[in-house]
Formats: sequence, structure tokens, C-alpha cells
Amino acid sequence: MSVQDELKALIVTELDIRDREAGDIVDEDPLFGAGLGLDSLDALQLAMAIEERFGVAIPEGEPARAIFASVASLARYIEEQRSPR
Amino acid sequence: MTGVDVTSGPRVAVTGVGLVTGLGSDVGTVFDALCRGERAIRPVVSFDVAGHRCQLAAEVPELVVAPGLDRSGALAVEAARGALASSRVEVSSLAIAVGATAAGMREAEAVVATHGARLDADAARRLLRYTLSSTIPALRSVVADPARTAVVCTACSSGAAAIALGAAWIRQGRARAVLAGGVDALCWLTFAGFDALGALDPAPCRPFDRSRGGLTLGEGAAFLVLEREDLARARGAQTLCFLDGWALGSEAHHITQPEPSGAAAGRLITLALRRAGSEPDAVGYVNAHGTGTPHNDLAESRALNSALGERARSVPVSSTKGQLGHTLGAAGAIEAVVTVMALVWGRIPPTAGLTCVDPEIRLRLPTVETPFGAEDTALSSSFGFGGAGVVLALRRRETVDRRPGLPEVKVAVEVLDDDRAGDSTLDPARSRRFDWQSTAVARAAQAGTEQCGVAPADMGLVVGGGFGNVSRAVAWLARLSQRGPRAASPAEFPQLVPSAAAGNASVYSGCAGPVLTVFDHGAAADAALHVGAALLHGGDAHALVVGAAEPQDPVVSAAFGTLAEQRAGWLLVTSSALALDRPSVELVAWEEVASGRQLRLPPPREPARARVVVVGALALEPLLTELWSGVARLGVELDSLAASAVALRRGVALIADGGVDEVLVISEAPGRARVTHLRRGGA
Repeated sequence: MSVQDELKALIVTELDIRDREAGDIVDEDPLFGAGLGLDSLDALQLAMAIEERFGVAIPEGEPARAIFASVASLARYIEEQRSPR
Repeated sequence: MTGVDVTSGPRVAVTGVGLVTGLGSDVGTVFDALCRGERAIRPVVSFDVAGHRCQLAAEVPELVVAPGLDRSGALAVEAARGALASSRVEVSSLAIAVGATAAGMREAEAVVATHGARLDADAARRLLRYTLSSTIPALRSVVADPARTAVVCTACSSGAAAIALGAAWIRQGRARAVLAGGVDALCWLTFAGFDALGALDPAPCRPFDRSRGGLTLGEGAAFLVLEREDLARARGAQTLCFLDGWALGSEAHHITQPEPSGAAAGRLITLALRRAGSEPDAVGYVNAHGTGTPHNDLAESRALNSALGERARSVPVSSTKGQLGHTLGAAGAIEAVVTVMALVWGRIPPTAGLTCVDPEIRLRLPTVETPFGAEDTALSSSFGFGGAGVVLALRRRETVDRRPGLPEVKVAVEVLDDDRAGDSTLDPARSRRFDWQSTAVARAAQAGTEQCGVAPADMGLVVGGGFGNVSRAVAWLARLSQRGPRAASPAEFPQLVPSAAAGNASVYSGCAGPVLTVFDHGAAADAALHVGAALLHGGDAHALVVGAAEPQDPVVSAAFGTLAEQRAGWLLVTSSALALDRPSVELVAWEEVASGRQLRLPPPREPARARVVVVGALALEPLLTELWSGVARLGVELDSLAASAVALRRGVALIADGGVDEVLVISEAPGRARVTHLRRGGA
């Protein structure tokens, strides 16, 4: 499973999304506001779940905005953090 | 609507205050310490906070917990004793209204720590002793036989909501004197939950500061003794001040975030002032909710500016949360005590922790003690999860009564159309995280608004709670203890607050009237109806959906197999002030009777056309007088703590269907029975 697909599955289960399946989420679609309609509480929940699943901590505050923009941006951040520097 | 009598009702005198806080339990000592800017915020010592972002709280040091009490109970008893000692009121006539959010959660946590999420019958029974309704029995050593009781939860405004309810009882002549306040002991669940939300400042809380980073939790309790002015005067009591106005309402915006414009909060401030017969220029002090979170403090500044206009820039405003922490269910009561004493002693405490005011916050925020001006009014505001707000307006003891009159209203009760409630489906995107209980309340709120024909904004909710979704809290705690603080679910935490279902329903359906959750064990729905009736009679609400929803919970089933059923039942309760043509079953009386006592109620007009509906195996002797004891009875099985909702619906339906003119519905709470007297309207 790709990081993108894992993330989509995580979003659906952790955020208790009942009207969509993981496969319905488009990589580049905005997660917050108009897109999936997620809010700040969802961002916190997702950050916790990502830390548990991928061992990657997402910074709090302003930098989090860009990271949480879409599944694609989240996956990029996770891969960057996991790859050896 | 013609010939409506208008009355101001008796004035509500505050004749005593008592509190327990991180800065002490003597009102004078605590007030002096607050004025000096002292802070009770220290590293947490009473449980392990390793791994949390925040390590601080304002705990009550050296609290002695008597055998048989939990920590919350011990805090409540100490604060209540202080309030009664300062008032010297006759205890036998007292009613009690308490606000709380956690009750014995700390002790419940110990049960989960020992047994994990899979509790056997014995452990489950021990855990269920610590429900919110245990708050009244905890006070038994102080008030053995309260005349009337209520345990309410509106999250972080619970203490203020209880005080508003107590004042409503007095104004309506339903109580002579009320011990009203709030309590919460600090517990790990709350600490870990707020920490997971990122709502706790790792540094001590700095309300209104440009660099504020969230709240610091605290614990404590406070009570006011509220008395009918004439009775207080007749016994030569000291009147500290008058509680002349209050307002309760909901923002219907978000479960954790305040509505950013502050418009709804501002309307509550305006309403409380108007009902006190006061005005912005008469306000000499505002004790703000001031939690120190970026969103709350800004929204509160906007609310005060919209309600007070120019006056908002010159009236001293302060928050005690940088000193006592946010004491949750106790906060509204502790802050009411501080506001009373500011009026009495003419001293305004500063906001400690504040060094550089956020330029977006446009308020006068003294950082040192300030004298109270010549004004005669002080305000205390409280806001909680789900947007539940309460504003209290206090006036000096020298002031004359300027409260506008309230119309005398009748309260009509009808069965909420179940099919309609069942049919209304919820938008899955907007009802994420709703459990069965939240879904039931949200559906009832929608159906009730439709059946009533009012705008959602004018509808309120009073939800009776029993044990609630215990397993959800147990699972959350078990995960926390097994996997540590970083695994604490932030999105799940607000759903564990006892008022979560009502808050979710209010946000979902747009119900912006008073939204309260009321706890009274097997009498949960009656307790909710009784609180709702007081709100309607006092003009605090005009239309309410009232009832109870109790899920099927594995922990409850393990402890009490007989209470295993999932039940929900709702009534639509309206005030005649709405002037709607409602089906006319009238709520004529609602009382509580201690076990072994007899109920004082007029006899049935025509015994053959009356019925008694009883929940469970409650013994009705000696409760009922001879005339009522001969009336035909119907039983409702106590198979859920929401069974009282089923009984109330049956009682209303009996009258609505014809054949019966009046009904007594009787349900059992610990040591007491609740009695609801319904009659055909105009009969």
C-alpha cells in the first residue's frame, strides 16, 4: 500500500467519515474547508494517528497548514521525514 | 394572549459565599491573594503527567477526603460548608443546584487503571458510583434533605448555569433558599484530553496576553447561598448583593471552538443586563471567562464590545484563570463568588499572567488591583464546549429593584412525534463522531423544532442523562494508560464530556436556546423536565425539547443487567408566552420528595379520571396521600435510566388521548422520588 493509500484509509477510519470511502479521496483535493470539510479538531486527530502509524511528528501551528493541505502534501512530508538524510 | 399578569417576582439576595481553590478555602484570604496577583499554578503532583506537553495545574493542596466521598465530593462539601456558615441560613429549607463535568472521574480512573477496559460486575458497579448524579448524595452531610435538587452540565459554564437555575427557582417562588454552585476535581482524563487538543499552555496561563498559549487547568468548588429577599430581610441576614439578571444560551457553532464574532455571547450579556434592569454604563466590573486560549479571549473581547459599546473600553475586565486555573464545572461558581466580593469590598482583582495585551483585544485589563468605581453592576461570563454560555448580572445591595416584569406563563407538554424523530436523517458529514445518544438527541432537536414551528435559534434542549456512554470514556482511558499521552485522541475527548450529546445536537440543528444536560439517575427525564419548566416559567426559554437518551452500554450491563436497554424518549415543552395553539396538556407541578415523606399536592379533582404512572418498583406509601393512593396505577419497567422518559410520554399521551384528565408521573432518584403533575389544559 502506498503512503497515499494508507493515509486515505487512516482519514476515513480516524475521522469517522461515513459518506465516503478511502478510494473516493483524490490526492490533490483540499482536506480542509470546502474539500472534505475537515476542521482543526480533525487536523489534531490526524496528526496523532500519523505519529502513531508512521512515527512522524507533524509540527504544530503555521507550518502544519501547508502539510495538511492535501493527501499528496501529507504523503510528501511523511516520506521526506522518513527518508535518511 | 390576553390578560397576562406581569410580575417581577421576589428579588434574589446573595447571602453567603464559600469556595475551595488552589489559593485556599477562606473567601477573604483567597480574594486578597487574587488581588495581590498570586498564582496557584504548580507542577501537577496528584497524578503522573509524564509525556504530556503541559505539566502544570492549579491543584487544591492538602485536601482531606473523608471516607465515603470522592475528591469532587470533598471539594463540594468544604465549599458548601463555607457558604452556609457565612449565610447562617436555615438548612432545612434549602434547595441545591450544582454544576459539574467530571464528578468522581478521578476515582473511576483508578478502577480502569486496575481492571483495564474489561470490567467485571464488581468493578463496573464501583465505577458507576462516580456519576454526576452522585454530587447531591455527596452533599448529604451538609444538607440532609434538600427541598429541590438539580445537577446540571453545560461543560465549562456548568457552575454558572446551576446558579442561574437556583435564582430562577427563587424568583418563581419554587424555593426559599438555594445552595447553588459548581465543583470539579482535576482528573487525568480531562488533563490528557485538553492536552491532546493542544489547549493547555505549557507555561502558566496568560489570559488576554499577545503571547497566550492556552489554558491551565485547576480544580475547586464554590457555592452561593441565594435567598428570597423578603425572607433574608425577615431573618436579619446580611445581603451581599442581588442576583438580578442572568441569561443562558448556546452559540450552535462548534463543539470546541467559540463562535469568532462573539455575537451570540454578546447577546447573552445584553440580555442578562436588560433582565437585571441595568445598562452598559452601570457596569463597574466584568469577570471574564478569559481562559487564555487564542480563540476564546478574542471572541470574548468582541462579545463585550458588541454588548457594551464604548463602555467595553473603559470598564475593568479581569480573568482569574491565570491564578486559579480553569476549574471547569466549578469555574462559573468560583468566578461568581469573586464577582460578588468585588462588588462588596469595592476591589477588582487583576489578571495575573498578563504582561502585554493582545492588540486585537480591545478591553481595559488592569494588571494590578483596581478600585471598583461608583457603578452598581458587575457581570460574570462563562462559556463551555458546544457553545453553552451563561452570563450573571449582580447588583449592589444598596440598589433598588429595576427588573422588568415577566409574564405569568403556563407550560404545555406534548409527546414529540417519534416517527418524525425517527425519520429525520442526519447528514453523515455533519454528524461524524455522533454516537447513538448524540444521534438520538440531534434527531429529537430537529423533529421538535419542526413540530413546534419555531426557528431553530429559538429552540432549547434539556437532556436527561443517566450513566451515559460510560464505555466510550473507559476505552479512551484504557488506551491512554496503555499507549501513553501521545495516543490520547483529541477528536474523541470532547465527546466524553457529559453534555456532549446535547452540545452536538445544538450545533447540528442550530438550537441556540438554553442547552443543558441534567443528571438524576432513574429520574433523569423528570429532572430534565423540571429544569425545563423552570427555564420556561422564568422566560429563559420559550420552547424546549426535553427527554432522555440512554445507550446500551456494556459497562452498565455488566454492573446492572436490569438496566441494559437502549431507550430514548422526548417531549416538546412550550411556554404560553409563545402564544401558539398547542395541544393542551399542562405541567401544573413538579416536586421532589425524600424517601419516607409524604407529598403535598392537591388531591385529584376526579379520581376516576386520574392516573398514576410509576417507574420501576418504587413504593408509593407513604409518598401519596390517601386521595391519590386510590387512583389507578400504571407501571413502566425500569430497564434503562431513560425509562422515566417513557413514563412521562405515557402520562402525556393518556391525557391527550382523552379519558384521563390528570396524571402523576413518579420516578425514583437516590433517596428521593420525583413527581410530575400533568393536567388537561383548561381543566
